[in-house]
Amino acid sequence: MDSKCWSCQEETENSFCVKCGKIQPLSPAEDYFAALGLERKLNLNLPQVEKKFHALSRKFHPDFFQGKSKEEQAISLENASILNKAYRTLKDPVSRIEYLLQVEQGSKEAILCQVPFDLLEEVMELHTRLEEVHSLKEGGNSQELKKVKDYLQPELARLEASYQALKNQIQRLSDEWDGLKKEGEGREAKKLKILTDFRQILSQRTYLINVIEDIRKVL
Amino acid sequence: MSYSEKVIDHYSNPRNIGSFDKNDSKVGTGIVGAPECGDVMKLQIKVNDEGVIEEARFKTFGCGSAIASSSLATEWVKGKTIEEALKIKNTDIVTELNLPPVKIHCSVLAEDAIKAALADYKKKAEDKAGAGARAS
Repeated sequence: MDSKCWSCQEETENSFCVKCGKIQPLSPAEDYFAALGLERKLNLNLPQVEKKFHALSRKFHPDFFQGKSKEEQAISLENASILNKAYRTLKDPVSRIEYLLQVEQGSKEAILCQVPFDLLEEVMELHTRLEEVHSLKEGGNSQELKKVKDYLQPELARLEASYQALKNQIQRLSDEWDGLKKEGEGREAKKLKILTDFRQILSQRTYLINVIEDIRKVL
Repeated sequence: MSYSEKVIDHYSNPRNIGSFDKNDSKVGTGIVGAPECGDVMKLQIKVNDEGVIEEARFKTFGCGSAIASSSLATEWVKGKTIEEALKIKNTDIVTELNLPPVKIHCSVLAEDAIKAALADYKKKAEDKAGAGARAS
């Protein structure tokens, strides 16, 4: 939050000026965690976050500023929209991590890194099999179709296991992140390691989800 | 968002779809992916004794723009030498297909796929030359 009121220039750190009582904009430098009054942590108590979001939303809701000046109306609208984006982003555990990477390490484009070649090859192979299933279905070749399906069944189980492992890894990393000490030797290195691992995992996640979903559809 | 006519053309009539045997020494294979959307693209080139790309094939699992970008890429590499093919830029693909900003990453993927296929071919050729030198 700005330290000076935009209207009366009084020093203020509240969302409403201590002197003139006017609404203050959530500073653009403020990140979504801070906007919702949260620490930059990954394990969130969601019901509590929701409560905070609702309380803040009530405070800034544009409806309450109908009779106020144009500036105050604009600020309330802007604040309400920041809060909404913040809540929507942090509510979902994956977009929460993506957002963390974004605020910790810059642009969103830089978040995802190279996917392991083996995974790409595997995904390519599975998609090719899935295509076979579709064309065999059209051709009505039930014997061949069964063969491909028999191949895909254990593959699906294996992929689901990898996805579960990936989710466990995300949880482990989240705990590590939340457990980071505020200061101390090696903190930066540890931090970097966690963020890099997160990137690696997130870059594989979409492939797994897509291919699992596609296989489920045909089996 | 609507696709440009050229994208639709490539999407509905993809050129050079299919695969070569990746173990063939004349074939270079590139597989690349876009982690944001989960698209995968495989592009293969077949190089003749004169070092010219004779044929190209692709297989892409992804959106229309990704398919169109790789289809176009296979058309463009054909008849080019490796050095010439290396000069194909994603921006050329964007211009040709009239891709909107949100689909630029599809063209980047196609450029990466060309580069990966060329690199794979070069590596194979070097390995072969090395093996040949040892054999003689």
